[in-house]
Amino acid sequence: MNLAGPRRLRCLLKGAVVASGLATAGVAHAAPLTDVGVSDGWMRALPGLPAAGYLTLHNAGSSPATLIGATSASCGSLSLHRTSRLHVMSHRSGLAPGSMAAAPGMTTMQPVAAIEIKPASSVRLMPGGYHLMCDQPAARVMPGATVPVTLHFSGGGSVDTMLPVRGPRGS
Amino acid sequence: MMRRGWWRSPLRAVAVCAVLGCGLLAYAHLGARYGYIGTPLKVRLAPRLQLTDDRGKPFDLSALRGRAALVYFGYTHCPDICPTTLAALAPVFQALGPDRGNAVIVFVTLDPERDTPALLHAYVSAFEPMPIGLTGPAAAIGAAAKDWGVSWRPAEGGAYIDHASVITLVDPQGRWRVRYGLSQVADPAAVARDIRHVMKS
Ligand SMILES: [Cu+2]
Repeated sequence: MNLAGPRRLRCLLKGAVVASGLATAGVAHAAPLTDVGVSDGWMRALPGLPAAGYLTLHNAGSSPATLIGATSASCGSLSLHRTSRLHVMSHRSGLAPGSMAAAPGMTTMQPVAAIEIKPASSVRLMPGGYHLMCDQPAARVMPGATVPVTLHFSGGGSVDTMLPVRGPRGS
Repeated sequence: MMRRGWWRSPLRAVAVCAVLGCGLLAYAHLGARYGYIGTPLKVRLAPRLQLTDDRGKPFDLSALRGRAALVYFGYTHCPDICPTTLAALAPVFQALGPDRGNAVIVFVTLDPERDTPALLHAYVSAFEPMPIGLTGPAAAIGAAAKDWGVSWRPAEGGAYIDHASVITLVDPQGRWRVRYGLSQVADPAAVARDIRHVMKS
């Protein structure tokens, strides 16, 4: 019983440290990357399942911008992902003989450390390609809602954006 | 006496040429008759698909005879390519118009441990038209994926699955006809044309 007090105190202290860390991260928002714009953002929600976020990043600046991560209060974790094709040939394809098409290769989804947006150009995060991966989405992440997302760039800058949530049909 | 070969007979020569010519014409005609937007498969009876549906009832692909089926293997925790591919079928069904009732989507999970019938049901209910969700013992799922030519493996890290993301079109006679990747289903009118084509022939 006596141990409970100090333990709880330590817990509270730890919480305070985490909170101050978050506050520091919040300060970074005060210095947003003015050269990077976001458009066409949305997130696809499925009941109780990981959600994918999509958007287009525009870099109006004269030097590259590098997206290195994203955070959201509506996601247990939010990470950069990429869906891509693995070029593996299968011999069990069942394709018609003489068909020019290769057997279907596997599609894979991998975490991505960074996405670079070259000066005066855009990068699309879109279905079947780059996406934001929202694991353990909050219950409020459902069609009609809006998810606040902070995009973090190398060099410490960040960009805040709001992603409207849509159903699986993307509408 | 000079021996005259059968091919020297003018009548026979004409007959042989006629047969060859007709054959070539027929071949050219058949070849030009229809071009699928998808990748044509060798026409053959589809492999067995005996699993449990998203309402917990036994399912057999043969129950879909008389209707075209679009069969896709995926898993519900697949946040990007699976819902994107399933969602791409909505405009295909719109383009099918009055024929849409004669086609059905089948979603087979590659993740039977997490994808219970209840979770599958919640998942497929979010799509329009609503696919039939299928799950079953891991061994049965593995055998089905192999039979259907769908390669897959657990992805590094464990939470996700690398898998061939393809839709197989099965005709109303239960035969394999055409296979589609995401880029091919991007043209809903063309896919609807393919489906109508296999409904008729
Ligand atoms: Cu992902």
